[in-house]
Amino acid sequence: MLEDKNADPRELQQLAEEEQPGGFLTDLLSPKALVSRRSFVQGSSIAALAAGLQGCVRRPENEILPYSKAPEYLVPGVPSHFATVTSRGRDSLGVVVTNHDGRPTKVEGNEQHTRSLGGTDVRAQAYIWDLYDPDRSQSPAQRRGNALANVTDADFDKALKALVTKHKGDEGAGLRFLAPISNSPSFRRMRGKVVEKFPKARFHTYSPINDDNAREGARMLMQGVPSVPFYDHSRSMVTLSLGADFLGSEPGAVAAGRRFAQTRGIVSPDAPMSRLYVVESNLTVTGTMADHRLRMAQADIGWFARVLMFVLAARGVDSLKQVADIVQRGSGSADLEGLDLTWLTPLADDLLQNAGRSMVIAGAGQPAYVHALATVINGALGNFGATTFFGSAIDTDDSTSRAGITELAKDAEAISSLVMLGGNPAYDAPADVKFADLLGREGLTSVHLSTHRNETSELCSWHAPLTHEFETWGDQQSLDGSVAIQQPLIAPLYGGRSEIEFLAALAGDKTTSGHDIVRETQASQLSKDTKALLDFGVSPADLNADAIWRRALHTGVLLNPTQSKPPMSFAKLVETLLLLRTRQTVSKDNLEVSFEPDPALWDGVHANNLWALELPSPMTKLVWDNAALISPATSEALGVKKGQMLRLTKGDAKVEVPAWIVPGHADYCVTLTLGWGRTAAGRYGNGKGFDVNPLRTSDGMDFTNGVTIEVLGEAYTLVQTQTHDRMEGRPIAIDATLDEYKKEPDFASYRSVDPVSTPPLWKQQDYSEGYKWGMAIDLNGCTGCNACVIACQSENNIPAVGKFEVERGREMHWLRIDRYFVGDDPNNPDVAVQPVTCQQCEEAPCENVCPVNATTHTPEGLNDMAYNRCVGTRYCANNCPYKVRRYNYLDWHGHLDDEFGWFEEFPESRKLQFNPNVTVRMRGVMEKCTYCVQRIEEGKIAVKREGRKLKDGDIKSACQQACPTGAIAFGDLNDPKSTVAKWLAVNRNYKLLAEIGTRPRTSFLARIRNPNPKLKGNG
Amino acid sequence: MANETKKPALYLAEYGTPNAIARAAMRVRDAGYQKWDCHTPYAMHGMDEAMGLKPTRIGYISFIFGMIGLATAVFMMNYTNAFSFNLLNIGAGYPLVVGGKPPGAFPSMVPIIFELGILLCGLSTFFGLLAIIKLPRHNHPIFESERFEAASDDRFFISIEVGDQKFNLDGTKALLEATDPISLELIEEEVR
Amino acid sequence: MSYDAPIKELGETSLLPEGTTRNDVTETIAGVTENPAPRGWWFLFLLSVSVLGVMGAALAYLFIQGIGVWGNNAPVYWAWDITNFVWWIGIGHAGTLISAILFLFRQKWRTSINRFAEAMTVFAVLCAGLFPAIHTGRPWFDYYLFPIPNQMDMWPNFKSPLMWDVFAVSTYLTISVIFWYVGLIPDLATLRDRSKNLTRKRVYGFFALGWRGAHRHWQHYERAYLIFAGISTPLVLSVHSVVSFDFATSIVPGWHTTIFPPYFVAGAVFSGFALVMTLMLICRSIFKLHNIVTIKHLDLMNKFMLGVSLLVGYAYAMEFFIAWYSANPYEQWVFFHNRLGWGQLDSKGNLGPLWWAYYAMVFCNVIVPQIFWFKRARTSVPIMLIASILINIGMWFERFVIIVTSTYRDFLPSSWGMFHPTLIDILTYLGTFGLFFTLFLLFVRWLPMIAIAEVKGNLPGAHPDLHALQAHDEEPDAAAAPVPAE
Repeated sequence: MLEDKNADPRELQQLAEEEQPGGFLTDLLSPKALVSRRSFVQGSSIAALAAGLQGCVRRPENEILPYSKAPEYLVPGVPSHFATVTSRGRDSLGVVVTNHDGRPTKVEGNEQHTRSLGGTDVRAQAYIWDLYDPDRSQSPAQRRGNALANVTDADFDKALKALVTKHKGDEGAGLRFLAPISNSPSFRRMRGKVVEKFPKARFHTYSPINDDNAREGARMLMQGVPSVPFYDHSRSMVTLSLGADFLGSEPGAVAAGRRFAQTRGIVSPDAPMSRLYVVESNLTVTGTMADHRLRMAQADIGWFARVLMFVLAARGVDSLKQVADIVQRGSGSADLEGLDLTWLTPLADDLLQNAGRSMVIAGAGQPAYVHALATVINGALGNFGATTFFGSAIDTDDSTSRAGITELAKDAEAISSLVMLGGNPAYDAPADVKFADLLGREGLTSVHLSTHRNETSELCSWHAPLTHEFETWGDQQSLDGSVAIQQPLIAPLYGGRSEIEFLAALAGDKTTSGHDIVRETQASQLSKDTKALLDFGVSPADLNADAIWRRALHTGVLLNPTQSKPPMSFAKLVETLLLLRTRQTVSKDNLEVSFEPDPALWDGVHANNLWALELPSPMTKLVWDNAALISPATSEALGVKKGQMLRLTKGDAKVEVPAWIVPGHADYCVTLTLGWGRTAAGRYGNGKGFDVNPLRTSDGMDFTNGVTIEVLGEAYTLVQTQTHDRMEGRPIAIDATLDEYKKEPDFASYRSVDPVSTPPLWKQQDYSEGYKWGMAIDLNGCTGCNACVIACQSENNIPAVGKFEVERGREMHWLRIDRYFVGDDPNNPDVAVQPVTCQQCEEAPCENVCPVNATTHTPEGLNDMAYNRCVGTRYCANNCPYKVRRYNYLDWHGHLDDEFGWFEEFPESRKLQFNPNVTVRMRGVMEKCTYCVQRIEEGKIAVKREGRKLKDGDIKSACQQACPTGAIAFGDLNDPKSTVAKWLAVNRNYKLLAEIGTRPRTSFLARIRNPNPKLKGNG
Repeated sequence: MANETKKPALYLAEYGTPNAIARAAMRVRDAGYQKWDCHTPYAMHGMDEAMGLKPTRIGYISFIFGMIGLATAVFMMNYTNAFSFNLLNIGAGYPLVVGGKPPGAFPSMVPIIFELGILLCGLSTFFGLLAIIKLPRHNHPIFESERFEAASDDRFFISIEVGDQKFNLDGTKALLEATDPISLELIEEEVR
Repeated sequence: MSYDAPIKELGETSLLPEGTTRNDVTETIAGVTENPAPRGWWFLFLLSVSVLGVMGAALAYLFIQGIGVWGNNAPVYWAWDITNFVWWIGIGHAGTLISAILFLFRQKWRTSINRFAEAMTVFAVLCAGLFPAIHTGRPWFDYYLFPIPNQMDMWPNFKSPLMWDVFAVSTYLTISVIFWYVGLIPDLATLRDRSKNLTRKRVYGFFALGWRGAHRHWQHYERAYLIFAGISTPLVLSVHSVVSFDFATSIVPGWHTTIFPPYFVAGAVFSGFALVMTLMLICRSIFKLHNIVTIKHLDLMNKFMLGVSLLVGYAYAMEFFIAWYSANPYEQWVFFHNRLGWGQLDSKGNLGPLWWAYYAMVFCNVIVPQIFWFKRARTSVPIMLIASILINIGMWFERFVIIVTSTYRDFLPSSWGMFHPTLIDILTYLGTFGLFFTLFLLFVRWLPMIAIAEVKGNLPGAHPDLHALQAHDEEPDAAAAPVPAE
């Protein structure tokens, strides 16, 4: 095999040095290591990479185990699948990563992991791109003058030694650490070790997007270490979201989506269907799923919760009574002023009728007492243990991000050395902290570990590359207490260390390899939890650490969720409630500004991620920019048009952001998304969008008011992938209320006439033999979260085209999510989302018109594209009524946003991400969704070897795999047992534009809304 | 070139008006000549009768080749899109499912059948014409005459070739002089 | 009806002024190719060659970068490229129409303009053919469109209207060239015989094929010419019908229309005639051809254009009727929103943003020609010049309206888009004028731009009166006096 040719130790040594100075290779290449075949392949394959041969073939250092369908250890061309886990603040998401010849190329959900249940989200899908980001930090650097200059690893190690020796003396007084919220037990262990060594040293935690409020809320009710609630949506028939985007940005959204959909995907009118009430300010994906949605200022939602408690108490919920009574006595009456009971009373009734089958969720952006209230109400309704649970709180770090960063700033003088493990506080710390000044102080030694040389690195005296989560060992815990092992899928591309390895080195621990650290940490964990493992199916015989360890790697889950029932007391909550006596309202003169994570860029970690940058924001469909989201009424009040620049001023802080009008947004509220306007993100992200952090202060990290807004004259070009919001009365994204559904069970097929019943003019093709691929999409499940869009992009090597090419309608996403506003009220419309991809028409209009037979039908009824044959007349795309064909107008891999520019070098590292089973299309070629034909063929080959026929679920298209709510079914229509065949039979099934007679293979399940009959208003 | 001899090729009589040449033509026709011709700057009607010519048959060529064109088209499209045998190893046909339609759908073939018919019809007419009138021929002895250049302007000529059985230098000359031409000359060509 | 019968509406008088002799005709027409070129010609020629250069640059850039340098996008995958293609191919129809159809109808007045129009056809079809070739994303693979045997057994898809185009356009080009050349042969002989220097004689002589005006040749020649006219007539009708199939057989609302074939043919004839008119007027004044292209000819052509404009107007109206009558929401949307604008506002109360293109089309193609109801307009050169130019602009807009305003807002509102041309779009289109006029100016300079032989055939007394001759054989020669036709 190819690597063997390069297997000359000397050559290896030398190549390896070029590849990455020092690091793990030196020991790897010692004669001892060369004996081991794996490390041999590993080293030589690095040689292969350095020699620029056939992409990157690299094995990680320590043994990792393939997922369930494990090929012979390394069969070239056969992808292997590894279970690992990605961090989500204090939560985590278990994933399975596809490896092609040692290159991770695709992230998928891990069905075994309780926070994934097989689904993923946008961020998980985007992780792969971050791994191959050409702008990742590639070597340590030291500050020389005003700029960072590259240094060798040795230099950096020296600097660390110096740091250690310096603080040996003062026991770490003046030594401070700043790290983002971590969910890793090993991290906490290493942190402990460091503190042991430097007793006076202190760790601070800061993440711009954090769970401060949830923890504060929990702390209001619980003594000791608070435990934040987590929910099981599959058991809730009535859900009230108090500004909680629990299908979008809230922790655990993926699992929430999967479980929520279980209560919505009804197949017959009389099946039970859950109901969702949403009270929110911005229009979120959760809001679009609501049966009743109330627009409300963030500040007002707390008052709503408070009044809800009164109403419930008034309806005789005892445990609430005690709280309500005290508060009422304290604050006079239950001040219901301004809150229409027409909305509250039916809601309260609904909750009461479904006591034990309901839940109230407070949004991360809501103040602590709202979280406490929500928990109290849940308890009162008897939802504990039914829909609402508490994980075993093991995190001993009880400081919030807000506290963490402010305290750090407070005793800035005392700090002589600051070590930052990741994060980017210089960009995203609260404005009043003035973090840049802190870093600029004389005589401060600042060390910044980071995957990128970001805004913070540029201000530090030392910078060292941090590894990507897919490169190193780790362990992560979820809110529900489950623990998973993070195993490396590829040796670090640019060297570097993980946080735990760094801390170990700092603490002078003898075990410095991530693998051993994690083993040690978990060894202690394992001994605790044999029972969970027995439940998990481990035979008592195998209960030795190795077996458990191997199983953990294999399944991606080490510990299952653990529950606790923490004792609660209402005292603190009542105090808080007594304090707020007046309702906070917003008005034209008192606008509210709230901050939200960007759906794709999050807090800015993905700011250089091409996929994320070009991902249309779910509701606004904006790409490559963020905007100040306001309601139509607000825009009139301010006299501002779409795209006009606004200047938001609070104190001496100013930000300028273009305005964007979102129907359904709360009036006199402005929503700003974080993560944009980075200056040191990388070649793609620099200067894209607008940085709103200057407006974000530690006392108003979620929302704030008293912001003055002035409208600047000039207009800014904001670009959408979808410019028309209305269906113009056409039967496209069909929906109905539950009552209408009951009256007219197959309303969907009525509304879109299917002419297939009329006799055809010619003998139609017969697909009854063999496989007949089809897809069905349940619009009841689809939240429009975009996970499928990026999944498709990474599976099918789909390029990004850049802002101005998108403006010209040339985006390449094979799968797009259409978003329509429904209903007459422009201020508060319903939203219909519909994923549209190639419908694989049996009588495809595109095929008739292709002059060169570049697109034709397979015997299995797939509408195939032969890229090599395509000359690019674009006639097929003209004739496609769904407009799902995408055309390479330019060489998108050579051009980004510069039509008139010459070709750019396509970064080598990004080539590693390409899926080798999918052609990379050149310019002038038409392309489109293939139902992931490469997966179909892979599946067929697999079962052929096993000598059986495919069964449902053997093959999953990328979008289906990624969908958190499982709204996409794909499979063989000739197999009556397949989900897709069953969905085809459901009476709310319909085919898009069926009246044209294209006979699509993809069908949709019309959406059912379940409004409360007693509640007029937005249904 | 010095000692090369010349031999007579044809008589060339020049006339000034359509009627004059028509009258002359009728005389020559009645005299029973075969290898003779009238040269006019434009297609002069009635001369067929005056010269006693049989109607042209070029139409048959056009028709036959037109039909061949249609047949070719029908075969080509069915061979490539509907059948799958391999003829003369030019590559087998390739029936594909296109838009769910039958591979050999006739209606879609009509336009090309028509066009190909027209194409072959037109080409055959052109080359048929050249074949029949034996053009191109750039070296005709008639071009020896200076006056003949007017034949493409406003004069009319009658030429009688030596090759004709009835031709003899005096008799033919007399016949032509009787038609009182503007001029009459004997064109000679070199012997090779 | 024999060929000599004059056209009724012309009365007994001839199109050409009294006393025009054969020699006058030869002198006038052949003279153009022999006298030094007028200054006007040089000016125009240099201009068009430079414009041609611009096109070269635009195309080079297009091939290097890709179709993306044009404004085409999703959902408007076809825009100026195909608009220009259909426009040029339409213009290319007047030539064959004038020579073939009018020939079959024995319209003698065609003889003054048919050569001219045929040449125009050939050059216009060349310009048209350019666009299908360059509008593909990978032009170097255009040969995939021909049924060439290959080792992969991949054949073209003959169900595709684009394949029909390939055959229709190439056939049309071939036949037009042959038709044109066959007509040229006798006149090339004329030039050959008149040429003073050897090179001229050789060159013209070569292409004249040694034509010697022999009547035994004329006999077959005439029949062949008749056959060409016979096959060209259905051909010219079929070509634009096939082009219209590109749209009519698709499912795009606004394209999928059964009236398209006749509608397109009418439009083609319309634009073709308009351009013939424009060019004719220019050449007429530059080369002083007033005696051969008389005001009578122009008057006739204007009447013809008036008629065709009524046909086209009818087609426009009928499209709307069908859209309304079919009750097909998508088609109604295209016609009443995308085109008419105010006919159907979207839910936000907006017009279709491209409505103005439709009104430009209607104004130029339907309103403007109505001026030809008046004799004064029909016989005034400036008016007809402006009108003919406006009509060509209008016909370009017709194709733009059909192609762009149908696709930019079709079935799914989510995919609706907009179209803006780029600089390269404009340069490429302008460039084709460079190509066209360069060829055309070379033609008028070096070839007889009017069919000498045919014009002579139309002179009074061009043909012998055999009956008279046979009746009384002895009769004074009547060269000068025109023989009254029967």
